[in-house]
Amino acid sequence: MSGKLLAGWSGADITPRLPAALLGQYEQRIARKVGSRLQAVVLAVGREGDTPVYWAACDLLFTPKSLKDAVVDALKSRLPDADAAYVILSATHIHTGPYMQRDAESSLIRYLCDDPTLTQPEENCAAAASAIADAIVRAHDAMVPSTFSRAASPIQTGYCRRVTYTDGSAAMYGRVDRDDFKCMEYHDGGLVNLLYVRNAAGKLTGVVANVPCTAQVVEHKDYITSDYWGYTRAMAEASLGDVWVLGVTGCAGDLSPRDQLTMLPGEPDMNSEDGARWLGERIAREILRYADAPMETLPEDAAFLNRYREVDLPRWNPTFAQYTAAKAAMAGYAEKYGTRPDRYPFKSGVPSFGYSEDEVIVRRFEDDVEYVKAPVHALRIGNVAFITNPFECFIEYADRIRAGMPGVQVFDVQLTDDAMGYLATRRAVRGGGYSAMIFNGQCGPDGGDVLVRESLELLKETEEVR
Amino acid sequence: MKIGFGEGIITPPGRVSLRGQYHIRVSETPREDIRAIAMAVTDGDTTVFWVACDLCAIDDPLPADVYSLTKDILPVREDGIILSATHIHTGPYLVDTISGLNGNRMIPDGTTSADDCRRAVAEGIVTAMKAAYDARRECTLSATCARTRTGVNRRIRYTDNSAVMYGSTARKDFVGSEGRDGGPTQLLYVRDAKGELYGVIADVPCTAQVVEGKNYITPDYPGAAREILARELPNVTLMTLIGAAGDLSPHILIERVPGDPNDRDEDGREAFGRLLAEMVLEHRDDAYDVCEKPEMRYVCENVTLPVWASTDAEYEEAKTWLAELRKQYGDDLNYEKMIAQGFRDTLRFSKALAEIKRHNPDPDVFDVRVHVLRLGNVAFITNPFELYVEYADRMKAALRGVQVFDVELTGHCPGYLATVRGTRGGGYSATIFSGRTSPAGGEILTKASIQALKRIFDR
Repeated sequence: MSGKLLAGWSGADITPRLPAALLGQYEQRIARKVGSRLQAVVLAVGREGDTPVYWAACDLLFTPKSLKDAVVDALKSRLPDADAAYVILSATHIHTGPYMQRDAESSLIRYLCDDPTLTQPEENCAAAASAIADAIVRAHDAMVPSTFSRAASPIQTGYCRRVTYTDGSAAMYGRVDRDDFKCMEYHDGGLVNLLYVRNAAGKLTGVVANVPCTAQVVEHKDYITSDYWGYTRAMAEASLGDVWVLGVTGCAGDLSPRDQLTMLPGEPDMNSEDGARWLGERIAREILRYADAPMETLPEDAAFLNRYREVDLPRWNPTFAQYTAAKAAMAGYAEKYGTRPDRYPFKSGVPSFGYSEDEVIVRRFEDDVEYVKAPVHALRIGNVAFITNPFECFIEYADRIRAGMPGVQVFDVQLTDDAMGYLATRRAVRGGGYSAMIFNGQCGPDGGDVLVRESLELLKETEEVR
Repeated sequence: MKIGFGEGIITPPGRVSLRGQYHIRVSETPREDIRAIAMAVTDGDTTVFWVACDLCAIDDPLPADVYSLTKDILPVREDGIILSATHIHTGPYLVDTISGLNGNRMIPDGTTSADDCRRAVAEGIVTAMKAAYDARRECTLSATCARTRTGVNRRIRYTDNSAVMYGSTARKDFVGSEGRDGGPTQLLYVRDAKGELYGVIADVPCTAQVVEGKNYITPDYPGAAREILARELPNVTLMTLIGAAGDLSPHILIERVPGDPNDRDEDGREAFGRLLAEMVLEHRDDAYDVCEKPEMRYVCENVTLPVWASTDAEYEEAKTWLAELRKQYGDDLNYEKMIAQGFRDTLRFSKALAEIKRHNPDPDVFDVRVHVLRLGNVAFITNPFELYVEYADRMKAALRGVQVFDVELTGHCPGYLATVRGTRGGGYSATIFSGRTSPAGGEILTKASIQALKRIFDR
């Protein structure tokens, strides 16, 4: 064991110039005002003498590879060791932030940011990358000897959003008061994992909050907002002073902030600002609750290790039968509506998800790609382990990773370092519906199995040096 | 409408054989008294008594005993007494013969007889009912739910599609849990005309079996919660009811965190009790008013369910398998002796015995009681099973805008009621010997419960 454990914090404003198209729905929403500003909160952490890890939690829907590459590129001259293995960008999955890249597999959203009067994805990405890189440098410069303590809160945050029916089908946000309602597809989100960071004087400098719930309470609004995280940060700061909150989202592809089974009078509408405030402040209260009563303060000589791998995952490719059917369907659309999908009547004539499925099936069959690379970070601090993935990952996969690491508090973090879509389970694919269709994600359950295996291998590598 | 609460001690005297496991455990002295917490609700001429008992289950003839002891001293009707169990595994047997894993007698010589235990329990329940009746007062009600995790799914699923209760998550073929964890804890606050809180009903989707392996009498986590609340709110009675939790437990299988209290020992019991007490305290001022002038409606319905019968093929296979066992272990198939000789396939053994017994059963149906109690805009609905949570979800989802408190283990318990998914995975709690009715019965129960709920809300 060499030097002391160090940590430093910083933040950046990544609110785009307005007006900007908002990413997160399949219809165009233009933001002309800001409800709460978007932030990237950065934690630099490492052992004295070694290259630190720089983790940025960003108020964005996704942190695509193009953004990560731009951040790493911007750091080259200032922090030359900060390559892809040491820079981690996670998204809180707000649906009220800007486009960061133009290309999307589905025509449904490809054209929604084309209006030249709006800030363009390239500009948003460059501005955010520059701000995040600057914040990383500041966090690096702010690194001081630090101690770490951990806790876990049992509050419920994310709820299963996939509803299953007696015919075996499933629907995201499906109705539960239908006569054929059977059950929710899987369990709700579990614990909120908390890691507190204090400087040598014992002052709390920041906290990592790993919440199994995406920040999409106000996902349909047409203004810029950081969703519930803005409220969490504001309340934590008001109560604890100058404290940073690195909000990272646990696997929650099949979860949302809305409990479809239990909706009571007196509770806030979880599609509104009231709901975002309620959830954000509830998380903040848990941060406060455990700040002075953590489960354990990690020893000063706690192991610190960082592992990074770009894992080859089998892409979710269609069968020949699916391809021929999709090809025929696409030909039908073209014959009826022409060759410009951006002009298709998705609300009145063309089934939007069905069209996307056909479109992606044809493209994937014809491009002959069998594997895709998924960036995975495994970070170990004592008996706390972080494991990341670039998906909207169904929580079952996190269960399997967590179960493979007994004796360790696992912070699983999705939507990190790329935007590879949903990663659904076999049960979900059987039920179908949005989030479990081919066009929803780069990988299917086979890829999920490999991701779990590779994640555990990476984590075990950090285990060996404890 | 008037509501009163009362308590009675139901700890049996002497050395007590403890119900809840398939091996004999004897409590020499109680660690803590077990109790009956009663609520009496009167509206007009009707009074309903609901008693939450620190027991593993309610067994006949306890309800009849209680009615017999109260019919001359309280304005009770036979179907107006609702007895629920918190499902502790550290309380007494109430009857001598339990159709469990092996059918063996579980009450050894030198321990208090089941009849004496039942008598002590019944007397404690009556004490609680009388106290509740005498304590009735005009009240207002407010309700909410606490969104904190309590019970977690205890059925673990593997790649061969099997499921095992408390199965290992360390196995390479681990997939996930079978279904949902418990949802929110439902809370009903009862205040007098001056606004003083005097009773809380907590409907927790988690059975009281943290310390289920211990060999002493204890009320498990509801007792710990009561103790904490007694310090914080000395004039408030906490009545703990258990929501559907047949596939749930307080034992965390997947998301364990180092340093967690031991969820099979006293520190886990204390922690769980504290969690419940904190929920009650946290929400007492943010619950919504159930209605301006609450009224009570109450119905008790019998629902006829099919007995889970074995198929001809299952019957024949069981017969053949048991014949093979007899060759090895003797004609009497004495369970204890078999175990001593190394026999381990206990689940299959119990399943085979049930498949023999339940082949062309006569009668092939049985009745269960469902109580529906409406208090203003909230409803309580009961079932007597260890009910898989999926069924309760469906009941609750069917009534938009109504907060439904689902309460399992109410009235004589016919065992688990598993889902189709559960029986596909198999394993303890999802086979023929674990419950008297199959998922077919679950469908009937769910539909009947939804209809009863809709009727009581005039929908």
